Amino acid sequence: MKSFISKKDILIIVASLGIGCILLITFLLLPTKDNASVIVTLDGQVIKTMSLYSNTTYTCQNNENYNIIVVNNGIVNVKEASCKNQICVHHFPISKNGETIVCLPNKLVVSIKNENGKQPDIVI
Amino acid sequence: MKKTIPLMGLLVALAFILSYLETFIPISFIGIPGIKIGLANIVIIIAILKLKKSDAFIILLARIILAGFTFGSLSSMLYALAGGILSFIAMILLAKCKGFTAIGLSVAGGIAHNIGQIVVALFVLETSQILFYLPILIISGTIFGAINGMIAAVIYSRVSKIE
Repeated sequence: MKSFISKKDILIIVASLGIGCILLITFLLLPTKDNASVIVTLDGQVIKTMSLYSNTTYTCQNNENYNIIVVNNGIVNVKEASCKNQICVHHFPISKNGETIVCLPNKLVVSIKNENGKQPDIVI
Repeated sequence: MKKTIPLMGLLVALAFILSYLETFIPISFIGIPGIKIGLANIVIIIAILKLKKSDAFIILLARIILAGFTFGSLSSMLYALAGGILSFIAMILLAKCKGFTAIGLSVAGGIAHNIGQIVVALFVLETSQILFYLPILIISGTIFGAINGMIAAVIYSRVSKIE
């Protein structure tokens, strides 16, 4: 009778959880500066930048697709959207440097960045 | 050898139904996109362990295409293909090395699946901000992979006695 789990399996599980947790804690520990801004990109192009601490509602309209982004008291969330899966609307509100809300069907990315912050950016 | 084609058809149908069931589980209330339970992967794991690798790959492709056309979109199929193929490669690599059981395969498959989807999203969205999701998806891929792996291991231990 073979056992259901082996040492190598446990190694993978522990290593993956470890790497995941380390990355997660790293992201959570990144500071959010007072001049942080909310950057909205559509299809790879930055279409709107707002201060994280402004109170604005921005509607991003692209043909028949739209997303309504609400920035309020340093918290950003997507209030309404035209996408079918509504994942962006159900997403937890973001408030920290590096956090992101993505609407894949509408190719929309809402992210928070410190101004002149050192973001690990990849040039694609 | 001719016995495997009806068996493969059965497995495709099973994987398809598991994908369908998953659409009813409202995992999106967690508020993090991309988290999947991946029940259909249980079928693929058992196929890798019991059948030829090429047969298992055919089952994987058939399931992704059928499920994509039935209750997905073309773009969702793109993500499913990327995740599925990467997870399949990870799983057969581990299957070739000794010392891994169904649980290890499933964990590796789950993580690879999520990484594949993030890579596609990187190209679609043309921004690196989506890497923010990577740690959460690695963790959820590990947890759900372990759960699926346990289910697969139990089923495999019963099924391997047949044939």
